[in-house]
Amino acid sequence: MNTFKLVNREIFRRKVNYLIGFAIVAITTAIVIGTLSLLKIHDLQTAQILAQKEAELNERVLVLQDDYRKISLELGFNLLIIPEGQNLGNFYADDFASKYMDESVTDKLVSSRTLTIQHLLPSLTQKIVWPEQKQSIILIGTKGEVPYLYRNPKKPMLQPVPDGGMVLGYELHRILNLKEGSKVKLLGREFTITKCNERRGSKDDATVWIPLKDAQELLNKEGKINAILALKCHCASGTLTNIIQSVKELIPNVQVLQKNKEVAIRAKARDRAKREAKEALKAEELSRTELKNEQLRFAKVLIPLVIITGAFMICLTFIANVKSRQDEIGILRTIGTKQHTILIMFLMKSILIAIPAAVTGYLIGIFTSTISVENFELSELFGTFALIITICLAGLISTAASWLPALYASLQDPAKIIQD
Amino acid sequence: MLKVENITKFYQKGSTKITAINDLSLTLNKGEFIAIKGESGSGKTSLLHTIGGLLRPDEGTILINKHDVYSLNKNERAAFRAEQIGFVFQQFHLIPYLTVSENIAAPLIAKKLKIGSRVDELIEKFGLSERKNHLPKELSAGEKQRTALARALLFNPQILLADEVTGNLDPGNSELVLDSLREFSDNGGIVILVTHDESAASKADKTMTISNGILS
Repeated sequence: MNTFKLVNREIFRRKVNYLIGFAIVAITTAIVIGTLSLLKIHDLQTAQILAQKEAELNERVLVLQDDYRKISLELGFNLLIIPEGQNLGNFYADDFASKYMDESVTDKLVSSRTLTIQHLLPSLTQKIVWPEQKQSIILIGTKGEVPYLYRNPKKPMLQPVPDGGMVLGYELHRILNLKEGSKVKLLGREFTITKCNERRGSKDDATVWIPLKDAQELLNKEGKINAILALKCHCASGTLTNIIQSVKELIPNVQVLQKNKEVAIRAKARDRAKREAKEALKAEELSRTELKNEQLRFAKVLIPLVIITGAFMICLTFIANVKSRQDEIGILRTIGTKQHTILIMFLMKSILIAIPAAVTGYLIGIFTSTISVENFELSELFGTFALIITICLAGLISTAASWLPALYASLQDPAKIIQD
Repeated sequence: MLKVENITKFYQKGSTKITAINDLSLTLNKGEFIAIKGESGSGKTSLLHTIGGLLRPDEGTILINKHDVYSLNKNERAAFRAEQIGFVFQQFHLIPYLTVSENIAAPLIAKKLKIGSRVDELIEKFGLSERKNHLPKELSAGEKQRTALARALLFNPQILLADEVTGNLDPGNSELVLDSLREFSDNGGIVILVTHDESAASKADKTMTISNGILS
């Protein structure tokens, strides 16, 4: 005979008392685990929903991108027309052509019946040293937009530089300390500064724009240009190849390059669509977080309350058990059982109640929490570590709750009990 | 040897102080069997509990084999009690959810001693073989008392304290129990039997009377 055997016999032969304790611990554990499982389910669902939404939004982004691509196609293509024979390596390196073409080619484009170009910007560009200011500059002679007066006039995209006027890039007017309205000389010709540009962070900051005619004269390139920017080009067939073909048919001695305007539109479209998707995801996440916080607030009240109630009921059960075992405690003490053995006897019982009850409560808690949730596997919630923690905590709380009754039992005076 | 020296025990009942044992002295040697008679409230049970190390006297000492029982702390006294003193009561005080053999082995909870087949010997000796797996509620009064006696004798104690052990028994069982006490005494144990029963007292070597806590 030993204490463990004695406790087992008592449990086996006084089942009701044991079952009451078992039920209290199991129900308490089930409520706590059920509540925690619901919170976990919420988290898992949130992850699922967000993943699903992200996938949906990614799909939407693709659709949007396609839409924007189509729209940009409808907007037409942007072309850069440079002279034939221009070494493209040098062109890309210098960003302007070293070869020239007649300015009259623009008129051919304007008069085309098969090709529609919304904006035409002929220019003459050269890198020179501004002798009067001893400053390297990119000089662009521009005519601004060639008007389609007899077709569908559009508002000019670029304001032409007025006759006798000059537009300065940011670095130039900053370094040279030049202001709008000032008069300056370039290659011996006087210009009035009509505009000082803001910083653009590109070669534009080192560029001087003057009227095309002035540039042609100053650079000794009368009637010549080295680039035409053709924006929003359309033709009947609508494809880029066909448009380039049409241009080349109109003006054979040129090279036609596609400008990256369309790419920029697409990139912007993609970015915008992505941003919208991220914002929608954030909103969903925020709403789920708020819901979770609400549930957490509820759980923070419910769980301690249930544990305290359970512990209190276990304490009452043990008080009843101690009361009903007075005679037994008296005789055990009389035959020499030490006080701490009596204490251990009751605490051992509380642990023997808590362990199986905690396992039962854990399983009930998980099972009941998934009843109302669809597409959820029990295995997603079950965790061996969580089960061990549950058993330990249930054992600890149960032991703590039965401590006072057990202590009371151990301090009983055997002489008094036997005498009574 | 048991030596009770000038023990006094008071009880407080409300504002009244009751003297349960009054300057009582008693010496018993190995193999002595005494019966103590007395009316209810005369102090016999208090004396038994005091000798058994359950009730600390207000004055005086209890020496068992020259060990002052109450100089030991509670745990040491419990261990000493488990090994040296056997108790038998009128109400049997068996543990209700243990079988006969388990009740007899119950003192092993208090002290782990090697007892070999002692439980089986006692079951055999007290004629409980047929009942060894029965619970107390399934036993007759005689069987219960025999079980209690077997439990008291498990560790072969030096002293057996018997409180009205025949009070609930029929003559046959009373005889059996008293014979067992006699046998224990004959084997060198000290028996103190508290009883009202003249015939039970007659089994003892000596009969003493206690009145108002004074033994005579």
